[in-house]
Amino acid sequence: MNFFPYIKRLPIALAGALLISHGHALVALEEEEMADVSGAGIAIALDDFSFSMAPTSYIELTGTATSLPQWRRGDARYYGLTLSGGQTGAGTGLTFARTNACDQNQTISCPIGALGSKNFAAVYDPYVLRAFEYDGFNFQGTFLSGATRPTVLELIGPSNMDNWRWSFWGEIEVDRGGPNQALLQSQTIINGRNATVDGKPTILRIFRTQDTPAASTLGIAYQSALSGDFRFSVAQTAGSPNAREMVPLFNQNEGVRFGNVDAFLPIGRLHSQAITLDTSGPSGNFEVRLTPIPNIAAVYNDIYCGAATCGTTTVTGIDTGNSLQAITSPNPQTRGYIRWGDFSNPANYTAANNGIRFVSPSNISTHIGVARLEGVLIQSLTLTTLGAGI
Amino acid sequence: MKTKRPFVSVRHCLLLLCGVLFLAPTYAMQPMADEEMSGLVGREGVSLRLELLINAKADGSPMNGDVGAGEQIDCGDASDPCRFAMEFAGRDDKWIVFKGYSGILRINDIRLDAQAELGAIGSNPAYFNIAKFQGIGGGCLLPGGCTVGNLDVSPALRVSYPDTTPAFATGANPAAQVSSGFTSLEIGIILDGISVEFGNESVGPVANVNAPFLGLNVGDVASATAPAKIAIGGNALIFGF
Repeated sequence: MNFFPYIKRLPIALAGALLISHGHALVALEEEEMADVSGAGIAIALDDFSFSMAPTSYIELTGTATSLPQWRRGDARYYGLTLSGGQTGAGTGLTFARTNACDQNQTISCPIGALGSKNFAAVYDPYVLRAFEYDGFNFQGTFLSGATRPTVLELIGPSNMDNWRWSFWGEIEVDRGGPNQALLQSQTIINGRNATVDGKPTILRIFRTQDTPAASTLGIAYQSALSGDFRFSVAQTAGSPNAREMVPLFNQNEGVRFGNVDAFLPIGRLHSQAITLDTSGPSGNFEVRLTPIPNIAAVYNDIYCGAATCGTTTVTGIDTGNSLQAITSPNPQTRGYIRWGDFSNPANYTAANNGIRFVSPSNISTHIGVARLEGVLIQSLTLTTLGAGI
Repeated sequence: MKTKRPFVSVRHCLLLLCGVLFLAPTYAMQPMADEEMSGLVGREGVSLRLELLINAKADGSPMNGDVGAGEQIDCGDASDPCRFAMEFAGRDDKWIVFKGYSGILRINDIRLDAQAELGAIGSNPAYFNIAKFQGIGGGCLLPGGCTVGNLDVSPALRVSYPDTTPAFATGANPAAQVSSGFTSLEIGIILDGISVEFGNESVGPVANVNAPFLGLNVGDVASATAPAKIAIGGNALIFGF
């Protein structure tokens, strides 16, 4: 996997070439400076960043006709995907139609930030693409370290960054071209960042699975991290076209909202659990599988407990009549969670903007409360398509 | 999956780019003196426009075998020549086939330039994350040290687009709506669907028998073949260590 010699000097070499050939900065890199480049990684910082798909442009997932009477064709379009600045205050927000500047202090009322995100990925904490080696158990329970460690290609996101706004509007269409054709338009807005509240980043890793040589295949591990405020809404204003392919104007209040969400989902573990692809049957379907945790003590103890001794302790809840056995020191690297609301202070559990709430078009809020899932660890998961050959 | 290929391609592309950068000024066949060069203006990097067509005509629509226009293939043909397939290591003779595939990509006026000092960007130093610049075992990989001060004086390749003013005007019908200023990127993709085909390791998927599903389109409501339009703002700073 020694492919980095090609890549390691190129950004600097290219930057040097630009400097030399066009020379406006008149600063050429010295040979010794270039010789210092180690080939450890490529860093990508994004400054004042925004990505705006036109409100009329879309990504569409198309369905296929089905002969099953209880099923109808479904198609989904996602329009106007936008990443923009998460600034708050009067006039910092725009609608998908790029009009009606709104006050983003009123929670996430508009889908688009008028400005870019200054520290989307600061130069001090950039995205890093690199080849790296980690210790870990393989599928057979052998601990790989030193020279036996496989090389992993990984893309690591920032641990800390400004909030940014992520949005799109959608059309879900049922029975396209048929007698029961129906349409629902919606908008989805997130104002947050792709890292957890405590700074765990998003990481994508690609590697060769450490199985028997004959069965080694492409392996993927993904650490999903998201935090911020979420809103999904459907109500439109009186002047909105509310028609297929027409850019809608959404009400600025309505929707189901999740305040202070904090989600961490590590999927896969080096080098004993990976996302792999394979076929399913002869009809053209395929499956995406998170391979089961091997039934080998050294491996599952590592996944559940990490370096700590895998002991359990009795935990009793507020209802003292109920108790359960919990792992004494769970492995924080594999222990996922999804929190809908800030749990750091019980006094905030009932705060209006914390947790789950439903808001009417006239801005009447019904607060549901806070909720969370802790200790999420996927033991095994297989997604199989059933679209071909039916 | 063979991981080397994309990197070789990147190498070729960048070598080509470097070649263009170095060769372009030589057309005059006369070397310039240092004093002359220091008097030049307008040397602020390069601006590139890239267009990639895959099984597509210039307008983004799929090729339909128009012999008069020099088209060799017809994406609508029953043999479906417009497809590509992937086979992963350890999955011998099993191919994920993307069927009825055509696409267009236009990168308009992307600017490559030098950022002499990263400190001039004005990122928030409170976000400094030393682990990003450390190797296996924790050693610093940045020449000059893993500090904010050293990063501030380090150079980078800067990639950006000209500033645009995205705007929208509604219309009486979908095609009459006008999205303007979304000019950085244009992407159009038509993918009828995906399915698995079985084939020979050396020649690829030999059959085309399974019905495709899970289709994908990327486009714009302006017309059936209009690509999606995207505006990108800000700077990407790329540096290696």
